[in-house]
Amino acid sequence: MLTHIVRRVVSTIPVMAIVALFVFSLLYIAPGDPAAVIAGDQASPEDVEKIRRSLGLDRPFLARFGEWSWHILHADLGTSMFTGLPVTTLIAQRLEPTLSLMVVTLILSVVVAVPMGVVAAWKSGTWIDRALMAFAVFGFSVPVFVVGYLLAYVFALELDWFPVQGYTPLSAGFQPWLENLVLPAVALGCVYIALIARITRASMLEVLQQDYIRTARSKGLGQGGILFVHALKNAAVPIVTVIGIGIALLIGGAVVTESVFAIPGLGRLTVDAILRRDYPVIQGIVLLFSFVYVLVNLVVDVLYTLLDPRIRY
Amino acid sequence: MSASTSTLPATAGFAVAPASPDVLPPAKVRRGVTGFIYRHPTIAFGGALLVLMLLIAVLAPYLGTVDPTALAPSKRTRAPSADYWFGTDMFGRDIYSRVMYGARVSLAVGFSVAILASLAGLAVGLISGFVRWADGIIMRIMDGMMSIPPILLAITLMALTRASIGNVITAITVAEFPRVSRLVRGVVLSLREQPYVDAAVAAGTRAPMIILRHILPNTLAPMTVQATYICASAMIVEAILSFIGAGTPPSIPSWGNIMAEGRALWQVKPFIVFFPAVFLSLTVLAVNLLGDGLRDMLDPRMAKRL
Repeated sequence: MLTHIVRRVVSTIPVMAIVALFVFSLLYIAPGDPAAVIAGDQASPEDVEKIRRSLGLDRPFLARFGEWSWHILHADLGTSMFTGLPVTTLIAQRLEPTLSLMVVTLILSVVVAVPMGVVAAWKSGTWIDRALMAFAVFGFSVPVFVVGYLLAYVFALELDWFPVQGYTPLSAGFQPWLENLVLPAVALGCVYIALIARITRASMLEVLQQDYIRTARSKGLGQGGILFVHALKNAAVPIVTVIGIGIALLIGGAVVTESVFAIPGLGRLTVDAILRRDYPVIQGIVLLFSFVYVLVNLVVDVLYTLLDPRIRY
Repeated sequence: MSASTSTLPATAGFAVAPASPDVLPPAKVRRGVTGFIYRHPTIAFGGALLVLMLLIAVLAPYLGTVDPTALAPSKRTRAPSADYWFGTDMFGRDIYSRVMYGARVSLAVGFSVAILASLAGLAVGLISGFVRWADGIIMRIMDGMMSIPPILLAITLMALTRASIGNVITAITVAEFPRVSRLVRGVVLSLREQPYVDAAVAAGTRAPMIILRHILPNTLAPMTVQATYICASAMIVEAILSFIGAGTPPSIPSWGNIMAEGRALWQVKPFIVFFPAVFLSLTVLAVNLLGDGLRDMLDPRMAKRL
């Protein structure tokens, strides 16, 4: 067990190294001259040359990559070309809103989606099942910013139940913090809920056909006990997997959700950086999110062994 | 049936045809288009909706539209009316015309990315499945690329290139194709174990022929399904990129661009954001329904599950 976990942790190191190498190489494999693109159309040749030097494009690839990785290992993601501040400082300033949004969305999605999938599987073939799965298809199809505007219009502008936009830090109190996050979390969670609900239903349908479910039923266990204890426990592995994989959707969606709801988080930092073509900032954020994604899926992998003792690597 | 035949009179050794009223009335078999719609309602509905959007894209100039980029500063932000069906934006441009023309961008990006990502994924997956020594390296690189959330990868690529539809297509393709390559590699690896592929190898069939005769036909079904989902996802990513200002150049009307322009005014003039949002959602819904229907049709074992 312990050796397995250690081996699994060690195996993420090459993946992270490849992610870093890939993100770094983009500057070199992008078509055209990235320095000229970043400088913009009005830039003088001297400006382009300055940007080329600051990105290190004037030096050999390997030397530059070695230096860059060395800095990353020391938690140095470079300096913003626009503000002159270290990228890590900029990220640290914007971390709380994004983290809050993602955690609230994650909890909300799992709490809504798993029971949805379980009920759909239990009532499979009925109108309840069809309605839930139709909702899931809609959840996949309506882009996050569309849901965001719709929710903000109905529940904030018309009904005035929630604040329209903005973010209140957790230090200002739990309730205002949560009130500001409800609508963005629902908007961001839609796709995620659809995804988790579909997988939960599929996984549950398979488990509900097993003999031990019939046994549980014949010995007189209640429906709730069978569904949520016996069946769900055995259906858990694919569900946990998709929760981990779906984090990528949350990360991508957060960029847009923060724009719609004017939340000053990492997504807004990304959008601002794009408009200013502040490449070191974009690079730092992409790297950070990718590492988070790899780590989340590492945790998921370790969870497997706890959920299903049969899994041994 | 057997009971009824035994009661037939056996006259002079001739087999007498049963008088047949005892045969069950044949189940009503629906044929042709009605039958298809009846059996695959999601494909029919999704397909019809997608064809409608394609018609809008192709026929945009003939649908009562005006020049989608024509400015009319005196007619800014008009609400929807008989003259301006979907209203006008902050530069006085007709939103109805912009939305109709915007269908072209979404569909072009969706279809191009679906085709290009499938081809790239097919090539990489085949190489990885057939060339043993390259498999490890290629799959590690694909794992690395899949560890970067697709929207962020597309954003990074767009930050390094000039805004153009071609670059949007390239960026989304790069973000999507690793998933196809994994799928194709998986199919290749499982087919390699099949006795008929062994037999073909033993008979001296060359690799290209094996790929053509055995591998491609078996990858086609899962790849088609995957391609529809990629198409849907590409249309959403294009809209997101345009919405945050890193996608299609603002001079070209695309649904994401129209929404980006309506963003500042959405609290007072929500219709600017509303109409492109509805069309984008409907188109993505159409493609997703088509994908779900195709999956059920091509893989009946999965049909009632997902």
